[in-house]
Amino acid sequence: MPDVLAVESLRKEYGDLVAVDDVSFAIGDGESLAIVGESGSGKTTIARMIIGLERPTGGRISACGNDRSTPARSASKRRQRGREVQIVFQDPYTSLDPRHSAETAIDEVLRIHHGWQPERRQARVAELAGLVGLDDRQRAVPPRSLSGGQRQRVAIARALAAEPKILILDESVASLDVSIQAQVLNLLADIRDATGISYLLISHDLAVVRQLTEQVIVMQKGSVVERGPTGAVLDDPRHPYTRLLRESVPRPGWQPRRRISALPVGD
Amino acid sequence: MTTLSFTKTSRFTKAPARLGKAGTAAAVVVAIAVFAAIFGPWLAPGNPDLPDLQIAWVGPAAGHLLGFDFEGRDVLSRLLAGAQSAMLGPLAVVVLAMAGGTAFALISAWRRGATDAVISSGMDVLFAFPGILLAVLAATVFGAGLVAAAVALSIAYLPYVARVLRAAALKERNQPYVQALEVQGASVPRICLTHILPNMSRMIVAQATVLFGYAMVDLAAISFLGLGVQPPAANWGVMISENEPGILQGYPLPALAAAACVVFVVIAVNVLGERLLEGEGHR
Amino acid sequence: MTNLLEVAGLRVTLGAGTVLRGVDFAIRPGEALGLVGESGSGKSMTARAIGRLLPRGARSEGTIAFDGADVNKLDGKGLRSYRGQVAMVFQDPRAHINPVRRIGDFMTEALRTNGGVRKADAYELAAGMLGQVGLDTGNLAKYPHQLSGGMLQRVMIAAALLTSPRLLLADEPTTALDVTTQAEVMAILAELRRDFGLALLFITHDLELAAAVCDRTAVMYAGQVVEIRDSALLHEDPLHPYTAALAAARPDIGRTQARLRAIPGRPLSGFEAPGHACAFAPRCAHDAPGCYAELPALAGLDGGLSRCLRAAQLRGTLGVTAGA
Repeated sequence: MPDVLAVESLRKEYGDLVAVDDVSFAIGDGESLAIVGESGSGKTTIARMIIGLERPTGGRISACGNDRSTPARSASKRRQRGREVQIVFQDPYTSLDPRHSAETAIDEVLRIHHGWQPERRQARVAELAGLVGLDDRQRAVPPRSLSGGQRQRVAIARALAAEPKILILDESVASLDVSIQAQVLNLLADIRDATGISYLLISHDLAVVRQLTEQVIVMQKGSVVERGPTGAVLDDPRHPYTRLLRESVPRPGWQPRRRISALPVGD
Repeated sequence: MTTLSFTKTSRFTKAPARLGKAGTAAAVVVAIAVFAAIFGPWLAPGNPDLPDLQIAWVGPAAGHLLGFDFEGRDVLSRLLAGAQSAMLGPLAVVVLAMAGGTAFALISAWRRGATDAVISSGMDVLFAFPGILLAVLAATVFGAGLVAAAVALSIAYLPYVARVLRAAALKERNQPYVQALEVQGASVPRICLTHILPNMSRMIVAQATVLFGYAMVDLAAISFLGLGVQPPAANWGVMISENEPGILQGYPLPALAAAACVVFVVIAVNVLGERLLEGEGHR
Repeated sequence: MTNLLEVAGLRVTLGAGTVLRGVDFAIRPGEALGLVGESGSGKSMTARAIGRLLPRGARSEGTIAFDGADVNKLDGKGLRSYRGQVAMVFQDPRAHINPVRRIGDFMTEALRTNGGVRKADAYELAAGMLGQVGLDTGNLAKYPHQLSGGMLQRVMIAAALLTSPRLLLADEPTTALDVTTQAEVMAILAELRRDFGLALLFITHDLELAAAVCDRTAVMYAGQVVEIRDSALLHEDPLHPYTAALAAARPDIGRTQARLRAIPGRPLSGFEAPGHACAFAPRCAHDAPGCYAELPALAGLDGGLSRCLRAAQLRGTLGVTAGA
């Protein structure tokens, strides 16, 4: 069975700046991989190139065996790609059209991909809304009446409506309260159990990465510095940057140390 | 099993703007003007077109609240009859300019890059032509008349609309929810028409009302110059020019009454537009 | 030792709703207190109340006493002096600095206008403080957009310390920063606190961060303080079910759990909380009928404070080691 996602020697340049430098990885069917890094690491750029919102400068991307290194030519090709890879963005407040309820948003996606009768669409909308835990009221109201966590559920349901093989979660739980984050992480695990979907998790939060994925790659300034099974990399980091990331996570007894000490005055 | 409906109830407007006292007064004035434009000719107490030089310049009398104009026609009736062309002209200008400007704004915002640069430069060139100049040109080429004047003004206003709406369109186009739809493979027209445009609707309506005010003044001026609506047709701008000699001769009422109509409607429309724009920006 | 800052019975109403329903805590000179809460808990509003930066239309009751003096009754000279002693640092440094003025101008403005310090002296002081936070003096001539988020936050901290405050109110100062930058900024704060004897009110949504860097931690829910505890004891022996639930809901970097122990429902804000019952009871794993009938008071227990009717009964069963 081919990998659901394969990325080879991916590169992105913005003028002189190399945002992504020779990145390769693959995600198998049903597997979940995390890309960990801080700002400037290139992790979000990689996600945007895979989903088609940015164009790679070099390298290849293929999903479900189909190459997607260059922009799609036709509308039907774009729809086809939409059925392979989908994305949930970080900010629940701008990732939904403020004028459309969850029902309308999910229904629209169904109409884009299928020529179904309204009854069949309605049934599927109800199914998806139920899957992500939205009740009757929450399905029908505008996003401004929903909390951040509820909006993310809508965004997840909308992404799943296309029945993708792989879902990119671009810091999708980072803006959520801790108690809500836990609910959404559990939901994502449940969805994976039910559908066998793969996740590509983009995150700076190592604990979330540990909870949701079994493979991880660590990025710094555009390059991969370490990769491996999530547990192994986090328990026993090899690369100095990974160690630094691990050390920077607050925990009982944590003593943050300065890397740049106080500078003398009058230089 | 719950029944779901995807009718209009699932689509929502943003929180409604508050009109306030000034806004409500403005809305009333505009409503009266629209009413007069539709029903004016039938509401007129006298005949707006029948001249009777015997009663030229006669002041207000019973049944003729505003007196008679320079040809002895009832001023109030003429104002009511003139409301039609005075309102329709600007309406046509607004519809044409908004449609064209919105289209260019959307294309510019969606394609960005080179397309945007070309369209923006083109708009800048058009900006260089004042509306009245274009109207004069149109009158010389196509002959005087309301249609030529209205089309010329629409072309002159188009770049203003395109520029203002481009900013709003760009803001929506760059939002993650639009990107999410792109990723879904939704077609560009679909995204523009069902998502971007509705989220700009308040801005569009507000701009349209402001534009209406400008168009009304410009068209009145064009008619005043004799290049728009031709006398003896009733039209507020024409009335100002026809009755202008009366001001110096001691009979200012006809000209001033017509001018007052233009001024009040323009102010009312501007205030209404501003009120609507004030609600903009709340998500 | 008298308390540097004492907040007692603080209630804040905004319009028709109550945002803060009962905030009580004290900070001793040189002490760091963490204030932890989720959305709607009221932690930011508390900081604003202390800094006298409440929005228009907000009314507050209760007392906020700094060095014994009622903060809300200060004005004129007293208020200016207070602002020199209590400095504030916010979450987004870019939103709180004028983008068209240089860093040096920004930092020295308060000194020169309020403090009457000469320009040259003010710049020297600013340069010195920049050095303390690890920034080169060349940054004084730069504009905000030329600095990264982390550097800008360090500038804000340096600027806050120029008036030699005795208390620093930090409202989510590191939330927008990378985790390594956060560690750097926390280390700088710890060092400066030691050097200047600075007290700190550290507001965050991150329980682990607060517990790691603060001497004591206060937890807020629905506009009230529900627990105050020595940070060292917070995880092992929390006194309130919400604290325990919050700690348990976080994924563990050391292991993958089959399912996280999520708290059902969603965080309540002060507006929505019932007036005569425990606000957390509907989501609580240890609720009893009595919890819905009575608003619990903040009561002392084992050196800490807890707003739970069953705190004494639940003692020892809530911590991570107890496997609640």
